[in-house]
Amino acid sequence: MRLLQIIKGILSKPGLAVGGLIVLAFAVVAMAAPLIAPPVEEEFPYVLPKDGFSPIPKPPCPGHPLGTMTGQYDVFHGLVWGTRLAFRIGLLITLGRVLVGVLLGLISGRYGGLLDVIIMRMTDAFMAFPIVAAALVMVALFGQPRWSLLAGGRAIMGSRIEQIVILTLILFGWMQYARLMRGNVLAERDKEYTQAAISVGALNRHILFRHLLPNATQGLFVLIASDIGAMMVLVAVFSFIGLTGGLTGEPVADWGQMLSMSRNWIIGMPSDAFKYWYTYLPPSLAIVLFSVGWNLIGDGLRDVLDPRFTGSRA
Amino acid sequence: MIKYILRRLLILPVVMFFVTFILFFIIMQLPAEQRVLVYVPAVNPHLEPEEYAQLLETLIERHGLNQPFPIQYVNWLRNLIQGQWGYSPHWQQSVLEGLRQRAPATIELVLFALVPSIILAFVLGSLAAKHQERFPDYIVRAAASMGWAFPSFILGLMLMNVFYAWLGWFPPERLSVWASSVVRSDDFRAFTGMHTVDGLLNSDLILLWDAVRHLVLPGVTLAAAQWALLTRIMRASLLEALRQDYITTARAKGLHERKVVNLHARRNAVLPVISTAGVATSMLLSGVVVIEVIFNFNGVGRWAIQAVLHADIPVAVGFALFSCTVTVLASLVADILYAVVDPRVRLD
Repeated sequence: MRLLQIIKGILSKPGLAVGGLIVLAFAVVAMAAPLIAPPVEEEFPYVLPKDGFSPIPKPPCPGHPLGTMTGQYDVFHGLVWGTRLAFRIGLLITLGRVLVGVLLGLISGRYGGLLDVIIMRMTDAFMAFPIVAAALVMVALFGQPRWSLLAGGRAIMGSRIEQIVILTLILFGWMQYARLMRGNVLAERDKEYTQAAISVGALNRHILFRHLLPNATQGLFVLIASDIGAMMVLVAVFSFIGLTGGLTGEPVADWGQMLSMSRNWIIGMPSDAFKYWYTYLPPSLAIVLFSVGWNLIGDGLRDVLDPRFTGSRA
Repeated sequence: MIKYILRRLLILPVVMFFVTFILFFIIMQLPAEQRVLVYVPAVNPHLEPEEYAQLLETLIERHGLNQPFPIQYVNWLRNLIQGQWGYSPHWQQSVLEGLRQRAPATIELVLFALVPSIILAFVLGSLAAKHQERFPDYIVRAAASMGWAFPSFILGLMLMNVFYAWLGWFPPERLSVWASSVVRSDDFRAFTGMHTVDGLLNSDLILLWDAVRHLVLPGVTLAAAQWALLTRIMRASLLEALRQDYITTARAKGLHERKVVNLHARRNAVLPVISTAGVATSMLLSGVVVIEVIFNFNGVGRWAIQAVLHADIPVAVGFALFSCTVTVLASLVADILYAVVDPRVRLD
C-alpha cells in the first residue's frame, strides 16, 4: 500500500521524474562506455587517447566527435568515461559517509550519556572544518611524495592524492548523517517495540540493527541522493584547482581535470570569445546535469517521503 | 540575555579544543622526521646522509617532537596562542603575516556576496511563501532550485566566459593595473586593505568603481548558492509559520494581513534562516577558495591553494585554523542572534 503510494507520488512529481531520467541516462552511458568509446589501451580505459601533440584544441571532426583539448586529448572519450568515474566517486564517498555517520548516530542516540556528549561535540568540531580547508591540510600533509624523498632518501611513493581526497571527503563529511540518525533514534528508542525488545533481553546488536536502524531512516535517502551529486562536484572542484592528479602526468577521464586543462581556453580569442567551446562546455554540462539530476531526485524524495505530505507514517 | 551570551561563550573553548585536537591528531600521523622538515628551510645538497640524519635528530630533540602526544599538543597550542603559526617556505613569510595581508580581500569578497544574498533571500523567500503555488512562487522556487544544484565553480567559469571574454564588462583579479599602482602609491592610505572601503575613505570614487567592477563576478558566483539555500529555508519556514494557530488567531481578530505576515509570522520564520546562515559559513569559506582561484582574486584561498600545491604544510594548517575559527565564530554569532530574535531560547 505504502509502496503504491510512493510510486504514485513519484509519477505526480515532474521534478523527480526528470531527475530520475537524467541519472538513468548517465547510468546507461556509464555502463555502455566500452561500446560508446572503445578504449585504446584495454588496461587503462580511463586514460585519454592522444592524437598529436599540438597545444591548440581542435574543433569537432570525424574521429573526434567533440574535438580535442590542449595536447590533442579526445573530449568525447573523457566525457563518456568520466561518467563512470562520476558514479564511482559519488557512490563510494557517499557509502563511506553513510557507514561512518549512521553507525555513530545510532550509537550516540541509543546509548546517550557521556558517549553521546563526546560524539556530538566531535560532530560539532568536524563541522567547523570547511571541506576545502580540510582537503588542503590532508593533501599538504600526506599527498606530497617530496617529503618521503627528503626524509633520508626513502623510496618515492606514487601519487596517492586521489585516495587522500576521497578519504578526506568521508572523514570530514559524515556529520550530517550522524546528526540525522541520532535524532531519528531518539524518537524511536522510547517506543513500545524498542522497549519490548529490550525487556525480552534482545542483544544490543539486534536492537541496534534490526529494530532501530530500519525504523530510523527518515530523511536518510534524501541526504544520500543529494550527496552523490554533491560529492562528484566536490571531487571535480578539487581536480579543477589541481589537488588531485596533479602529479600523475597523464590526464584521465575526469570532468574536473578536463575543465582544469581547458581553463586557459575559456577566454577564447579576442574576435571570438566562444571559439574553444568544445573544450569546456561538454564537461561543464556533464557536471551540471549530473548535479541537477541527483538534486532533483533528492528534492523529489523529500516531498514524497516526508510524512507531512503523505499523511501518517504509522 | 547577558547570561545566555556568557554561557554560550563558554562553549567556544570546548569546540576550539576539539577542533585543534582533530587537526593536531592528523598532523601527528606524520612521523617526527617528516614533521621536523618544517624547521629545515634549505638543505645543503653536499650534506652526507649521516650528517643529515644527525641534523634532523638534533632538531627533533630541540623542538620536542619526540615527546608524548599531550605534551606536544600543549606546546603546539602555546605556540599558536603566542602567534607562532610557522613560516611558509613557499611564500617566504610567516603564516600569520600572509593571512593578515590577504584576509581583507577575502573578507571584502565575502561581505560583498553575503549581504545582498541574505537580503534577497529574505525578500524573495517571503514573496514566494505569500504567493504559494502562484506565479512569483514558481519563479523563485525554480531559481532557487537551480541556484542550489548548479555547481558554483561552473557558474563562475560561465560568467567569466560571457561577461569577461565576450562582453568585457567585468574583469578578473582584484584591480586594474592602473588602480593597483594607485593603491601602492604613497598618497594612498590603506585603512582596511579592502579596496572599496579604502577607495571611499580616500575619496577616490574611480578607484571604488574599479574595485566594485572586479568584485561583481566572484561576488555573484559566491552569492548564488548561498542565496538559493537561504531562500528555500526562508520560504519553507514562513509557510510553516503561516500554518500555525496563532496566525489564524491574528487573522481572526481582524489584523491586517501585512501585519500578520510581517510582525507575527516572519519573526518566527527567520529563526531557521539564522541558524542555517551560521552553518552555511563553512560552505561559503569553501566556495571562496575555489572562486578566488577561478577569478585570480588575490585572497586567502588562492594564497593557501598555491602554497599547498608546493607542499607548504604550515600554510595549509594555518589556513585550516583560520577558517575553522571563522566558522566557529560565525556559529556563535548566529546563536546569539537567534536568542535575540527568540526570547524562549534564553530561558532554558
